[in-house]
Amino acid sequence: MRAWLAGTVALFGGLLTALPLAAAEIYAAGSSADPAVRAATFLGEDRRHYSAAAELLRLPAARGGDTPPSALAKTLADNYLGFGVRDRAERLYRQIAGSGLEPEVLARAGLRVASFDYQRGYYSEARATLMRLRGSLPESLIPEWQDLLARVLMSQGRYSEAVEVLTELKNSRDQSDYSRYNLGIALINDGRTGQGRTALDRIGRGPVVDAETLALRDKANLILGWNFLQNRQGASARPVFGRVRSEGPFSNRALLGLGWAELSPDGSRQARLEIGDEVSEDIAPFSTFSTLGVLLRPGFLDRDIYNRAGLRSFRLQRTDPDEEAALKRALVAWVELISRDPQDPAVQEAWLAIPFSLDRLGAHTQAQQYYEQAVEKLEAARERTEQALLAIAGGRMVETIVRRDPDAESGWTWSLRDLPDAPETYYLQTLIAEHRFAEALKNYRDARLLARQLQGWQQRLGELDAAYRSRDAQPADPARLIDHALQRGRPAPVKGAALSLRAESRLGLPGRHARRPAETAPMPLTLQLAGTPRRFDGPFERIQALRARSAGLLPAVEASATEHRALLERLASEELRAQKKQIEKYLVEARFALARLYDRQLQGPDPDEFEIKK
Amino acid sequence: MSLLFGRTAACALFFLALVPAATALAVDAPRPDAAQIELDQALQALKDEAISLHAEGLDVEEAVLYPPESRVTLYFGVAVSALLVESVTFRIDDGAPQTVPLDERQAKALLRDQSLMRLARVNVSPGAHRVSAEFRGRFADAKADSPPVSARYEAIFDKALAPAELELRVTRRSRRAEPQLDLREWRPAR
Repeated sequence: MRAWLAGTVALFGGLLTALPLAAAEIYAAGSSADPAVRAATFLGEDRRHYSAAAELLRLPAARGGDTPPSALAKTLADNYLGFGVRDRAERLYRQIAGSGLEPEVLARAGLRVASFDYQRGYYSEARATLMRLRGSLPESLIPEWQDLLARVLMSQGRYSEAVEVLTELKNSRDQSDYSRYNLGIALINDGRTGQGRTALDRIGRGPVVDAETLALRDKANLILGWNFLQNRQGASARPVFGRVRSEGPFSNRALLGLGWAELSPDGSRQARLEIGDEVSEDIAPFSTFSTLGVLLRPGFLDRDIYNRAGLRSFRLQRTDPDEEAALKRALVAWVELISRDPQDPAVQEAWLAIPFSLDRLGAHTQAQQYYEQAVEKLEAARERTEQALLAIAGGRMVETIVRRDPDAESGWTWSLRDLPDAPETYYLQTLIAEHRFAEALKNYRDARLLARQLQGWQQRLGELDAAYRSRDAQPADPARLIDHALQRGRPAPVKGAALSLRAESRLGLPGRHARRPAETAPMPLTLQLAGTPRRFDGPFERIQALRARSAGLLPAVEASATEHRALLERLASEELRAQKKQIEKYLVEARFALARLYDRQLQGPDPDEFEIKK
Repeated sequence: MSLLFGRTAACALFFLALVPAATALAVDAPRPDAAQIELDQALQALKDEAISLHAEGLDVEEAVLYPPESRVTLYFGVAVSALLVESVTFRIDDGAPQTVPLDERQAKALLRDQSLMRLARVNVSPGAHRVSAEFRGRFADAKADSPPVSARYEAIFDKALAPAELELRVTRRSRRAEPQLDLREWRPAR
């Protein structure tokens, strides 16, 4: 740092020799060499799409009626799309379609438009754009195109077509794991369950490259496990749930499923099926991290789990040995689960599943105690949900989320990096990850940014107006002008100055003449006053026009921001109300079970009741 | 009670209660409703209008505050691959030196498609003026303890009545040469 400062002092102390600048380089306005276009490219790469688009729009080439140069149009379209002005961007892309730009550049632009449409819920438009691209796609972009089109089709419920898109080109090796996961989901939803399960199983057993593939692998295993469970194939579901990490976004639901899988019928053995051009191969499951299978393996944690749950003291009687073993294995998973986040629906269900199992085992007293705890936990969860609903109604939730980087101009390319530390945002993690919420959130941020920009312009235009008016009020000082002129030795062209005039006798018509040209009568010259221009578009007039425009635009932008915030609050409230309804359903279950147990106690000792060891 | 009954009861509970997990196969969350799509389209139109207004505002501002006969725009560019510039310091005539720090995203943005960062827009009188500058940065693959890369430059430029557009550029003569700064002036073709 010291060296840098010393260098700076040396530099600006004038120690270096000043070099004269070489001759200027020439650029075509609006071309890729134009400094204004290059500066806008920088702004775009810095995700300042709003400023980039405005800077480009200032160029005369972008304003005229003709198609702007392709470099300019492409950069302008990229930034319009980046800021979420989709229609304007698409028009520009279409204009430059035949301009000689590389096909890959144009295809990428088309994919971005389709991606925007997909995320914003314009599925028909996205599909149309992708189908239009089909014939002109470079090979390198085909997997990306397949992935996006399949997702669009699945969003429209066209699972069969999605499967076709992902399999007809027989390029499974080029496709990402995400595409293969989507293929599995599409196959299952299309009724081709066996093939879908095989696809998900491959993802669930595949190699892990990074955190994202690890999460995808967990998700595939979770979905596959629950699919087996829903079809009463517990034996197939168990090892699949066991492959999910013990700590991760899907671990709670996997633990819950693992418990139910122990109680589910085993079902039949599942065969692996061929899918498209995929080569059937055995993949050894990746297991360098802690999975549920490791965490809950028999004989390893059973004793500890029972101790933690206070289940050590009961002895089972008159229970089928197979059922008893299954219930105990299920309890291992669920007891682990109830130590986790009580706001998670999977954890809440585990609070009911444990006493249900204990009751089945004959441990009615412990079952009653667990039901009572479950009621307590669920009441607390309901209370927290109600508090979160109040926070949303008070407008705090949305403000908390968008507080960071309020002036970022990234528009559509903005993403929420992490959740603020507020309970209501934590409960809404699933919703916040959905496109309908995320895109509305981006729009809300953009509307607020526009409102601030317009307020800023109102102030800037006011200052410009004042500067312009004050400049007009102080015309140039004649005395100073005369002094300046006299210093240069020129006669001052003003009244009172000494002017020397003389007749010029050597004047003639320009050019060479063989003889004296004939004198002609002077042309009659008629002068008249010109009419005043209909419209003068000087700085003053433009400032006034812009002030009027911004004054008209600002209320509309503020109204849009308000509407977007209301939309976000509605979505969040609906999500929380659904969570609250689920909690209340669990509460009814718990209270009903408790009433049944109390009733049983009133009826006298149960002949099936087991003995409690003190 | 039989084991079969117990399992049936258990399954009944989880089918009753576990709706969220069971619907995971539906893949996609609910799509935006008509009201949301209408809001999005209305905001797109407002954004379009706001960008247009912003552009015209910049035009007027430039016309009033930076007239062509005195306007000088100074840009900064990097033509050395993988060089991440951390800061640029510049000075015009006897004005105070100004330092512009760059974050990593901006440094990377300067490496894309000959992009330029606008450092300053100033008014100067017609005639000769001095511009001096220095940058500091490091290569993307440099070790953490390696010294920063830097260079200085100073030049005289002649301001005519037309607006001046100057580009301070980091270049190097060969792959092994040290990065250096130079200055070039741009003019639009007539």
